[in-house]
Amino acid sequence: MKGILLLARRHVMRHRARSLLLIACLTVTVSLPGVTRILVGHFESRLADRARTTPLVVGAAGSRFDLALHALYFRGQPPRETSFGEVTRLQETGYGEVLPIFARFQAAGAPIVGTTFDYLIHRRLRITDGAFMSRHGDCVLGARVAERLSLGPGDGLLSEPDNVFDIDGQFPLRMRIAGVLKASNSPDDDAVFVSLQTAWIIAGIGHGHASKGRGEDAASSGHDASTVEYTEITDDNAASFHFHGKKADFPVTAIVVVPNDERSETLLLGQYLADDDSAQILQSVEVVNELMTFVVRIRSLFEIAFFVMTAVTLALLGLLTALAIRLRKHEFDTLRRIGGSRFLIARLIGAELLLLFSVSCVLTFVALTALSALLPRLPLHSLAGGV
Amino acid sequence: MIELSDVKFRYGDDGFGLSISSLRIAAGETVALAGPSGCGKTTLLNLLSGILDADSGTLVVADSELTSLRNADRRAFRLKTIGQVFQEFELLDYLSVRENIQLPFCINPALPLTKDARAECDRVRESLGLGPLADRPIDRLSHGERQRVAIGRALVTRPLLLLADEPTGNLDPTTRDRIIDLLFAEAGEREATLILATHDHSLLPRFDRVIDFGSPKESGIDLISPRIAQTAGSDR
Repeated sequence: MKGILLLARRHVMRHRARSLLLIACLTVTVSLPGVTRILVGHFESRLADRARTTPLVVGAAGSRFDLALHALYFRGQPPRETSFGEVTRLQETGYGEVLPIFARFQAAGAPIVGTTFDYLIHRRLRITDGAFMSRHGDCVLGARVAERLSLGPGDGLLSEPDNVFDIDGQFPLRMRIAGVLKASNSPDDDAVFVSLQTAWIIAGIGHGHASKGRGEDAASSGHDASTVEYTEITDDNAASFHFHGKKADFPVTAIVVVPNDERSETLLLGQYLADDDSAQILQSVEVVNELMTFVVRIRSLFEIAFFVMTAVTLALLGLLTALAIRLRKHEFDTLRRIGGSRFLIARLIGAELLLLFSVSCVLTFVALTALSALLPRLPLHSLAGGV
Repeated sequence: MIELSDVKFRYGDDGFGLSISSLRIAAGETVALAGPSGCGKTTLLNLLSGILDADSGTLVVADSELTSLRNADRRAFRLKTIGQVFQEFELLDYLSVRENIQLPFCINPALPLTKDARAECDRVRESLGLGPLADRPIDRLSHGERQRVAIGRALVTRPLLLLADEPTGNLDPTTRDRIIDLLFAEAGEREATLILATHDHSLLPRFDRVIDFGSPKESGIDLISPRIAQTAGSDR
């Protein structure tokens, strides 16, 4: 057998390009199902983890998936907003911690998440550079946003109005970057956090302005000819910022509720059982599990595709081997002339295939191990298109 | 050592072939097969080595009746008893000089590559002047060097019967003489029978016997012409 292995090894080494191509094909065929399984498994576990730390989500009635994805990943928009009055009402029940989210706007492609300081504490988000928000207009950047935009404390970041053609709508607000969050390898790394009040100012609910002096250009700063509306909050003008209307009517896009215990959770869920078409409550884990059933179905489809691909690859490998045997007829005749048997030739071909397959298996093992090791550091939610 | 009687062989049903009424070659004898190209020298060598199966007759080599041996036994017999130098060398281009010479020990469990076998391979390689080329791939050797590798591979099993098909065909006179000396020395050392097909008439006086395929009466070997050719000839 040692001699056969020597011959097989030498032949494989001699035809490097062909061998490498075969190894690559085999490695892809062997590793793809494993890679998919690991990625989906890890993705599932990430989703479940995020859902577990976001037990209940309250929001306007509508699509459960939209609301869950918005509250968990700041992606998509619930069709309707709910009011801060709902936040107050939930806080008054005393059934758990209430964390409002208002995330309607973006800055440089990252969602601006208006929330309370409690949210950051709940998610155990820590500052790695600078400080948390200290006044209206301050923001802290998620780690990946800061890295992508190369921004840090002291820099500015402009919000994007949700409709640039609405000249009567919101104005871009230049936010002051107070700090950068430590990477948490979660969707929080891709967000810009501001206080709820700052988010409402971006939405145009709150604003600051000064009386316009003679000769100043009204068009450049606001829609009211008698005032100049600030597009940046500074220490000097911060006091002039104010809100119009009742706070209870101010919008929030989702409310995360962390119930005190199981009983509180049940009671909270009970409160939304009534036929109320204005608000809904959902258990994130349930919604995520429903989502995962879709993912698992897609994975099954992938597995069928992989099975077909494996069969095709093996068929091609068979064809290639058959052609190689014809091409190597002279070599096999030589082996037979000097005393080799047909069985020896079969073993030689088998040993070569085994060698290629073994290298493919080793590469697959290395690739899967590396993938498993790297996965905790990969932004999987980004890879999955935001989910 | 070798005894053939009434051996008939034909390539396919209609191809050319050989008819050998009687041929005896003693152990340790050196025999040259002479004659023009296509007269059957290679065919006879292949019959003696068991690569070709005789259609009829008796073919005994080293006390083994080749025609009665099973394929596996004949292969093992060939590997152990016979060393053959092929006209086209039949080397594996993906192996080095060393590995090609060791090849008989790699392909059959009947001949394990022991320490002694390795030493023998090294000795033969050195004696053929291939020492410095041991690790060189075959496709980087000259024609003459390849020929020497083919001879080395035939010698390493220390065969009792050494068959060589034009082993000096492409060598310069100095190398040719060196190779022939070596073949004679190797054969003489272990009293092996040496049968060598050659066109080179200057070599013939060195052999104990010359079988001239051009003289069927003397040699007892007849060339069987292809049937199609015969028919075509008679038509003419």
